[in-house]
This record gives sequence, structure tokens and C-alpha cells, in this order.
Amino acid sequence: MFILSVLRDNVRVSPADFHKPRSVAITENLHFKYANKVVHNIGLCIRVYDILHADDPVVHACQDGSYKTKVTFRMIVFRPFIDEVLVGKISGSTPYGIKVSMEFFDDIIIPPHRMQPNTIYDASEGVWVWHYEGNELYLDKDQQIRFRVNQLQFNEAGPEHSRELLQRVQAWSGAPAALNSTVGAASLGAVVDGAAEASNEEKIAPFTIDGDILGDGLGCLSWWQ
Amino acid sequence: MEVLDPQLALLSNWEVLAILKEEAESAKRDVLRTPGTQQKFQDLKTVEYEVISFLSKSPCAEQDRQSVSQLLAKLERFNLTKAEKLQIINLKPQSLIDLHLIVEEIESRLSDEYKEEILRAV
Repeated sequence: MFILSVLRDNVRVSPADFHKPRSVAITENLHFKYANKVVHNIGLCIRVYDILHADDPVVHACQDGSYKTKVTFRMIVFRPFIDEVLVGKISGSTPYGIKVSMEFFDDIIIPPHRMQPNTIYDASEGVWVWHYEGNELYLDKDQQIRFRVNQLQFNEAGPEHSRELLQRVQAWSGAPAALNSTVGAASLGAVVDGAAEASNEEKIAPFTIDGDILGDGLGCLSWWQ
Repeated sequence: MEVLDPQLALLSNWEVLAILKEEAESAKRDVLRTPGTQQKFQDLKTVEYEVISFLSKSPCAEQDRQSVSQLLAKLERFNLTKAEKLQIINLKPQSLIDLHLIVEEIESRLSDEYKEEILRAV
């Protein structure tokens, strides 16, 4: 589930932190920048593991007196590998798939074609149901679910919307997303609402995982015990 | 910012849990941190809290270095890949179905008695 990545970055330490040991000041800076953030194509950064090397600091005497140093460090990153089996909790269901959450990471989705055959969405209750040999097995909210990682998606946040991005937005919000975010309303309130709605629809997580529960042993834990 | 090595090593869940718990302990004792900077570390505290909370409910919560190295020693003879050994440590399979999920092409690689042995070792 977790890996160690080696990164290099410039860190600026302000004079307010000079009383701290250098490694502490640098580590705190790195945590402020990276903790709980996604690095593109790497994963979700948890915390710094250690600092491998810090260059000689360069002091900006004419600015605020802070120094800048190039730091090479190792970071604990959440990045499961393809085909890894993980356990999470079902956080919601939409007609486009099941959302799974792992407390620190929520952007996991299981699309319909990756579920056991004969799994149908029950619109009245808003859950997916697996019809297996005459039994109805519900995939209810807050149930523990075991899934296999199928694909890791790193999405760039940008103003352009490709068709693929829109499909993923659809899957997440559970509602068709507008291709053009033009709002033609008269009152200011409606314009503000429209803009907020458009920006909500356009928000897409930078790192999403596609899972699958197609196979023996996958799906709700309670099914296999 | 540059990435020198995107994947230097794989970490097992119990290792990450141990690191995070240790850091949380030392942060409590840390007197250098002034109260004003608490907000600065909200992201770090949030993610650490959530990861510790998640991992504490998983099988890795009871593992330590000794039990894991004992398990690895017992798994040595089965020619499992690194990923498979890591998953066995993280998931602690309790039944044959769980084992089938983790090990690829299990029928051709492991006989039934090997499978039983792995389940007992866990």
C-alpha cells in the first residue's frame, strides 16, 4: 500500500524558525508543503521519512533574511500497485459505481463492469445488489469491502475538459455534467448558484483508484466468512 | 521539485503504523513547537490521524518486527514474489479463498499442503 519515494525540492526557512535544529525546520517546511497532498504520478504523500541530503543554504540577506536550501529527502507515499488487494468501507453508491473509502483516501470507485456478474443497481434504495444463486446480497453503506486495484488515475487539474474527464465527473457526482458551463440566468443569485454548481461538477480528484470486485474472495467481507 | 526515484522501496503497513505512532509520540513531547504553528500542520495531523486510525483496525496492528521476520522466514521456501509476501503480511489471509486472491496461478505453484502450511504460518 505504501512506498518510499525520493524527491528533491527547494526549501525556504524563515528567520522565525532559526532557533530550531536545521533538520527539524526543513522537515516542518516539507510537511507543510506535502502532507496529505497528491504528487502527480507518484501518489498521496503521508509524511517525510528522512532527509538524505541538504545543500549549503543560501541566505537572502536583502530580503527577509531567510535561507534557501536544496533538499533531497525520502517520503512515505500511499500508492498501491496494480492488482493489489485492499480493504475499504463503502461510502456511497451511484448508478455509475460504488464509492469506497479508506479513511485517509476517499477517491476509490468500482465501476459496474468490474462487479460480479448479475449485480444490479436498486434505484429505490440506492444500493447495488448482487443476485447470486437466488440470494440477494446487498452492498450497503459502511460495509467493509475487499477489492483489487485495477487502475491508478492521475488527473491534471486544468480548464480544458476532455470527454474522458467528463465521464469520470459523471461517475463521481452521479449526475450528467454540463459540457459548457455557460449560465444564462437573469438574477445574480442564479448566476452565483450556477457558477458554484458548474465548479462543483468540474472538480475532479487528482488521484483516483479504479477497483474491481470481480472474483472469488472479493466484495463484502461478510460474504466470504 | 524533481522526483529522483518514484519507488525506492515498498513499505508494509505495520512499518508505516510504527513510524507514524512513534512520530506522534515524539510530537507530543516536543517543546520546541510553539502554539502558533499548530494550524500550519493541520494537513499532516489529519492524514496521520486517519492513517493511524485505518491501520489500527487492520491486521497489521498486532504485528511487530519479530513476528513479521518469523513469518517471512517461514514463507521463504515457497518461492513467492515480493508483492505476494507483502500482501500476505498486510492482509493475513485466514482462508484458502484469501490465499487464492493473493498468489497468482496458485494451483500450478503450490500444492494443497503448502497452502495449508502458509495459512498456519500466518
